[in-house]
Amino acid sequence: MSMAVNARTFRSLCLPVMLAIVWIIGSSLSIWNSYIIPTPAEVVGNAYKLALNGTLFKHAAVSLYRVFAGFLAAFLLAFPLGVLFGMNSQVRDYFEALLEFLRHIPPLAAMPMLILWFGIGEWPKLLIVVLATFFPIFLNTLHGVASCDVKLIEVGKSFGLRKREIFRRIVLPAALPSVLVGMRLGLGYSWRALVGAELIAASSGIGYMILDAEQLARPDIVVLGILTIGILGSVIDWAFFHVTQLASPWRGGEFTNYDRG
Amino acid sequence: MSLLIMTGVEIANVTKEYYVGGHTFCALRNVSLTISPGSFTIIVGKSGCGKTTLLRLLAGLEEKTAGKVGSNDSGITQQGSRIGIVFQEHRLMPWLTVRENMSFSLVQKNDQWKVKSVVDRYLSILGLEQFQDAYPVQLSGGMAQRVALGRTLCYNPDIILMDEPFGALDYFTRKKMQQEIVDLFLLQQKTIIFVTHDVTEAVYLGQNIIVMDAGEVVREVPVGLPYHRNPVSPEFLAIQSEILYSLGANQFGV
Repeated sequence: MSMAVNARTFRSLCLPVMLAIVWIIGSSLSIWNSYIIPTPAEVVGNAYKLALNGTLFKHAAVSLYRVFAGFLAAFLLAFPLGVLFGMNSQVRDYFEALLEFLRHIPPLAAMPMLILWFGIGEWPKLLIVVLATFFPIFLNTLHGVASCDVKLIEVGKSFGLRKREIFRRIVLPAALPSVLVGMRLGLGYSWRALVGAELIAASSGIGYMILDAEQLARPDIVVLGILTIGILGSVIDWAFFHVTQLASPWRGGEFTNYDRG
Repeated sequence: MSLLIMTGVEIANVTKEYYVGGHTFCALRNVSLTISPGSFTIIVGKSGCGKTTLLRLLAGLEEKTAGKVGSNDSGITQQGSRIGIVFQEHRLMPWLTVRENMSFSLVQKNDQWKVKSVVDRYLSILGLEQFQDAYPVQLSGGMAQRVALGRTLCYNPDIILMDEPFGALDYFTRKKMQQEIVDLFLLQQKTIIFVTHDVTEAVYLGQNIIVMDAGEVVREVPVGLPYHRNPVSPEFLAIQSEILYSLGANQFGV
């Protein structure tokens, strides 16, 4: 198993390493202007400097805080609503048109209105994250709950379980994988929407760091910002995926098949 | 020793209709049955003859259109008897291990030691001890069906309803499971109602065989042979032919 994992890790790292090599060689041979694509030495040097004086961590921490706070708020809103709509098709009918309309609006399109209503403080940024995260969690929870296998529910009925017990012991665990997929998607969306929001109106965060660097004509810090976003996003996604694997051990993984037939 | 409650089943003139695409489809027509407590009854018939509908009706998973279920039409579950079902598919909860699936109906019980001893007992009887920590996805079809049977037995029902539980199993696993069911029946003498389309399986297992065709009971055949039965003995083959004849005669007018 570990050999398979190592081979997979190797394959997934091949392309990033090759790109890094191309970047290093291209920069050292001056194939492109260092103003267009800053050299790795500049980016790493600045990363070290900004890490040392705390700027990088400060901006990253602010962005992370916004992502997690917005994500948590979205989850607290989307999960119960997803369950409610999944269990009750009549409620679903009332809200379907409105939700379908809202689903197609990119959260950033609402930014001007949010600034108008809530100013340029923390609220618009948090709300952007909530808007971006809400639908993946909501729709996946709804789908997970609504598509619970009727045959499993019948098993609960045949053992005399009450509705509440059927929900807690059958519907909810059956919907869990779908809910987790929604949360994972939501995390990715929230990160993207937040950086967008920070590019429009913010005085801190990775998005702001990039915008500030653009205005100061510092492409090396812009690249550093982009790399930080990518790395933080990947690490969060990786961590979340492994937590979900622990939460649902019956799925995925490499099982030993006990089939002796 | 616990008090053994012997529960039978009684239904009278039960009709079940479905409305499909604006048409009424009659799945059961005036079915009346009396099943004695502690007996092993088989309902046999071709696909679509209404046998599964009858079983689901007894389990309370379907509503009848007309007739009486239970001696005073209160349904068989209303008389204080517990009904356990083994479905055609194992229907195990994929997120629970074998042990957790088997104790599924017992989780509300406070006495965890008792729950453990009940599950241990059936894990041992069904030969599943080694696999108690496996998930359903890791089991073969036969093993999963055995867990489903164990789950129902842990529930300690008075009546066990079985809906073609071995239908998806290979020949050898099926034969082994049939033997195990007979052994369990002899051990516990619970009321078992077993639905199958396999006439040989019906004669091998049942004390009383109810033959169904087109939503009606066409025949009841008592099987007086002692367990375990030899499927190639002349008596066995004679009963088998009799049932096949009843089914064929209705279908082909032979």
